[in-house]
Amino acid sequence: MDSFAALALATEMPTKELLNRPPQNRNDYIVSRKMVKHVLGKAIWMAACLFVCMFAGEYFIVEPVEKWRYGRDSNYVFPGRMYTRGGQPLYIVHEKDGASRHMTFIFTMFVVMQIFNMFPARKIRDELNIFEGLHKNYMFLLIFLLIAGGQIVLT
Amino acid sequence: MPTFKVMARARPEDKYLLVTGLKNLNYTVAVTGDGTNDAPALKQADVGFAMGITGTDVAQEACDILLTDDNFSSIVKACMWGRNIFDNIQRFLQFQLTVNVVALIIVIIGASITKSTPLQAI
Repeated sequence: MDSFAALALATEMPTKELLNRPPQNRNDYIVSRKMVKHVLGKAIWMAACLFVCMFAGEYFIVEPVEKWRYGRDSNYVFPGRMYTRGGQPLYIVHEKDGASRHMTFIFTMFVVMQIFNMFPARKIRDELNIFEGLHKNYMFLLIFLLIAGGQIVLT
Repeated sequence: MPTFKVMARARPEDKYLLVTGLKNLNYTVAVTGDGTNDAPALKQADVGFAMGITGTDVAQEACDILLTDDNFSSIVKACMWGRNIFDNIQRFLQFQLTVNVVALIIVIIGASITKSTPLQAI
């Protein structure tokens, strides 16, 4: 998923505005201060979202059937973590095998966040309009649709 | 030095000195040349462009980039593409670092608190 996205980000074409910029120093870091700011800011925001869903998800993630939330017979899909925050086991019966719907939710949330992170990642200099020049870059849009479609098929 | 526009009848040493002086003033210097007398300046500059068709072998040896079509506008194009590639690498790094930093935070903190693996696909 992310190697395709990385490829998509490398398909950007040069623009005339590039020529108005002062030259780059030979000793400059390739990861600039603004990039570090972007990366850390986005990382903190995403991690916060994911943690909220990870530790409080059992209260608001919708389960298709109410009885599947707690105490069900099937051990194929069980929701949530295995332990509460207090260390009490939440789902003793199913902790050995079966898949966790809760973790699927978190994983998909992570992936979707990263897919849409492709758009802000195109701008490295604090530009306000993150969609600028997007219509000229068909390859980027194609790869975006490919990844998004693939992810929908997978989950 | 920063007010210089044209330096005429320059000897090879003068060209070399001009490039060295500009670099000492923290400028990024590109030099174009075709003749043997340009070679020291080409070598000293941050980027040296030499003519691919009319240029002498010495200049072509000393340069960093050969203009195979002998066209000065190719320098602008080279500059544009160079910056574009640098930008693309930065874009790629920005995206990839975000992905990896988030995954790292989630996996480390998640695994140590919930005693199970977060970010599993099923």
